[in-house]
Amino acid sequence: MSSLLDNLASPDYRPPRGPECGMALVLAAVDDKTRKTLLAALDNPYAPSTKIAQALAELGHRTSVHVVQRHRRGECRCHG
Amino acid sequence: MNLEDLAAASPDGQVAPASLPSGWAPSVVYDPSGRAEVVTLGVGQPGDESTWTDEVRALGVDIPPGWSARLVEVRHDPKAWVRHHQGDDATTEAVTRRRYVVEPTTTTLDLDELVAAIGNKRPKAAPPVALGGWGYIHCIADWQVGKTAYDAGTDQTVHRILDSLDASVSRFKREAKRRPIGTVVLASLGDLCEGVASQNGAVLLASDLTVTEQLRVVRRLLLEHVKAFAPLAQRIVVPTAPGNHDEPHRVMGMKPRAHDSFAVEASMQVADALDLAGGYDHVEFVTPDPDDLTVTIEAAGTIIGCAHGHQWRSPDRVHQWWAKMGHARHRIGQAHLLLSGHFHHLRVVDDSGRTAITAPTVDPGSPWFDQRNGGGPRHGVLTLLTRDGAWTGLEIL
Repeated sequence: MSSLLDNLASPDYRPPRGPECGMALVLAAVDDKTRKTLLAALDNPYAPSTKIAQALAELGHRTSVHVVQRHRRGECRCHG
Repeated sequence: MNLEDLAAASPDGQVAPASLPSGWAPSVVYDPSGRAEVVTLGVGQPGDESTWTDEVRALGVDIPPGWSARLVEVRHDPKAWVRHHQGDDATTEAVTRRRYVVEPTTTTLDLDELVAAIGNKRPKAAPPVALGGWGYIHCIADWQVGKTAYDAGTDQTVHRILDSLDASVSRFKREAKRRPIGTVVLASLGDLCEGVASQNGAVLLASDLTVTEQLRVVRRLLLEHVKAFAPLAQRIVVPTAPGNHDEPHRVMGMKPRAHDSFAVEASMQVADALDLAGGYDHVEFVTPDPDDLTVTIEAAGTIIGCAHGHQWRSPDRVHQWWAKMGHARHRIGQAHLLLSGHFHHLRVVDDSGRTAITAPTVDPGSPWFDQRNGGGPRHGVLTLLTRDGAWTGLEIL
């Protein structure tokens, strides 16, 4: 059976959608220490998404607040 | 604020979740009845009942005469994030979130006046006992009293019938504790005796009773059924459909008129006996119109059609026959539930929201059928419950 059929037969299969998540691109580009800090900020409910987007912009990563919010809500491709 | 600050941010650091608790955003929601729900924020504790309406009016909500605000829920948040004016920095402070309902003012009853009115009430004649909402159906099908097979005969059949009757009465009592059952339907679905008509009369050669003896046994068994259930429900209905074995003759090879039936006659004899005995006014016997093979009754809001089943010849054609009856505007065409026998095995076929149920038999079995089909059906008496056109709790006892 082909991998496509394997995928289609799987109850967990979701077709690919949209471009890569901007937050995933940032997480892949930064060093380990920054990635760890960024992930902690993303998980912290008291850290506003606007501030995270601003902090990333200061580090040279132009990421909109919508990208941060979508990633935090789990609605981006990172979450399937 | 850099990423390290954001990773370590806490409520004490003045950065709080931007969203309010779900359902607690300050708001006014009206529903079509004019009732309104008001959610507001405030410091300190809410005032007493006399202040609620004014507090809501102070928010700009119009409360007409005859209506008032009622405080239905209060939540206290010691560290809420509050921005008092547009453009100000948000601050953390304690607030109470209050949910009011604006509704018509409740009329206060004068208890003394009410008690006096009760005292003036004149007793009325007691109303008749209300019928329970449910119906219990016990199917009487294909007894074929007089039939012999596999070294068994009427003796074994009668014991099975009476054992099933006991089990059905027990089941009724159990069910009646769980739901109000006002009606019992003893659905007589034909072929109660082996008779003399089938197989060109040859059926009589294998019977262990004469025809009149068969009728006597059928009549007395039917009487036992009515006597068993009569004390248990407010209404007992005995609809009777003629079967092919119940035909009294086939003189010159011709079938008798449809209602010319030993099963119908047995019901009428029992009805006469109960009429003489007295005390059975709540028992109704329903027999077919002249030249009709069916009866249609109402019980517990369900229209129940009863037919033996030989008129549609194959069990697969029951809905086809039923649809034709509907097309002809026959009364059985409007039934929710069609009960039948003849085929000796349980069969439930639902179509267009109507259910046709074929009851199994309690006869000694059929070597002829078993040799052709490899085995007979599960024997027993079919019971079920009904209400408002629906059925449930199908059990073979």
